[in-house]
Amino acid sequence: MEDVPVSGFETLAYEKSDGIARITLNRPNHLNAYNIRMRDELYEVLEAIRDDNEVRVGILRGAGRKAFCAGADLSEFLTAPPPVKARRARFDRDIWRLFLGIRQSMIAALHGYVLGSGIEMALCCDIRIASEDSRFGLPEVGLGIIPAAGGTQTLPRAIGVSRALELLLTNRWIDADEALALGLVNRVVSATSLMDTVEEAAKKIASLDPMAVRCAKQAVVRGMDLPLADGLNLERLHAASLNARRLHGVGDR
Amino acid sequence: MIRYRKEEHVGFIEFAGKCTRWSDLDVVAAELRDIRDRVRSDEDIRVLLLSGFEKIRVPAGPESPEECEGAGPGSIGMFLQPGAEVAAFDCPTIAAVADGLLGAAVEVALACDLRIAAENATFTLPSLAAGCIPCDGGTQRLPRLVGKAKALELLLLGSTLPAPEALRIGLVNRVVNRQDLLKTVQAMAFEMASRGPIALRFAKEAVKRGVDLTIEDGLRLEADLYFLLHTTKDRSEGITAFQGRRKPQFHGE
Repeated sequence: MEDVPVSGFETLAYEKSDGIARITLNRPNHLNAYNIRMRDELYEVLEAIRDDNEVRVGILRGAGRKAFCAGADLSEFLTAPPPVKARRARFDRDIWRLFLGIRQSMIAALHGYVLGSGIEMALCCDIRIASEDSRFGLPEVGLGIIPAAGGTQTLPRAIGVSRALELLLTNRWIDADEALALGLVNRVVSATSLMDTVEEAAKKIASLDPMAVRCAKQAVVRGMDLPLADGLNLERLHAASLNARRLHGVGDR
Repeated sequence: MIRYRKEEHVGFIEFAGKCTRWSDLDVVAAELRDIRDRVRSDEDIRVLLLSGFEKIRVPAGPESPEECEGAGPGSIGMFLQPGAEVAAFDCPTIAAVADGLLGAAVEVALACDLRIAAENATFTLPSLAAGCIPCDGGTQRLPRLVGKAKALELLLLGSTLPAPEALRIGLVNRVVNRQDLLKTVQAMAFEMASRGPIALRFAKEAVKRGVDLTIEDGLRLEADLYFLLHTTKDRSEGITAFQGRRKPQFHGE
């Protein structure tokens, strides 16, 4: 497995140490707005994480003080390729499927503006920890479009259909406390302790048996798509393979 | 039974007539179906505001053999259901709940996308005590909204749920002072109606249809609707207006 070069990315910074991969959205002068270049670089980084067994947990954060990510870069929107071509590109390199399918645990460290694609990227992570100054909003419908980074699917699964519809249809911005109450984020901490809190959580996860972590995530995430009986079977399969490995060394990497 | 009026892009559906017999629900459902035909052919309507649910006070089931016509086991689905009619609207539906709701009234409110309640509003499902079960979506929409445990508690105990608790468990989106209810809901409806009308409908469709699909199929649905929006003038208008720092003028095309 090649190490992803730390330099050479225009819109992201990536580094890993002690089993923790750190992705930083790195366009602070543009509030880390998500553009085509970021999409392509993020895809590369996610592929690298997917293929790197040394990575046990990933952290996603945003550079600069003002925003985790304030949404998509609209300056590219009106020159987008025609819909049929664009749809093909969307599925040929399916970044959201890749992100949601990452087997290692992913933690989002949120601060400042978390808007549009920002919320959607955060929702591709397993755990979301936000600083007190975070503010969340979904402006897409006011622009005549809908979220296209999975938000219409991941948000209702996270906070419920009705609460998701309210945020989507009214673009009502919510603060960190309300995000916590809705279940959009797991925890709210002070801005100064955000990264310490996230690092501590990451270290904890990185210290666990990586196969157990992957099995737990798979059982939960894949199980959500299944009727309960099938989900229980999935859990049994994962548990059995973990036990076999633990007790008999079967399947050791 | 129903008063319908239109103001700018908002349709107002008010349950105004006396709806006290189980068979009155047929009339309500038929009138809702007529309104839906009107709304479907009226490109102007972008959001629907429903009120007057408290006027619906019917028994838990038919009270005479005559009322049973269309309600026997061989005719399941032959009787009209107001909740089903409300759920079939393409555009977003907002419920204003001003008072205590019983049984069928709760089910119609549950069929709306969002619910805003006055502080004195309550929700009760008394069917079980009468030897019946809800038959207009209550056993399906309620658990999907508030979770299985709370839904079973409300159904099996028939307890009366006050507005603040309804807010906490997710049955309503917001609770306001009684005198502010109409004002708040109208402001919400008009604000929503100022957004891209096609985007509003597609956001609703992506969420409501997507939640019953696997996440992967849901993401494909979202992408397909998103790319369809690329073909609209509203999308260009929305983005251009944002870049020009002016309010967008959407026309629903």
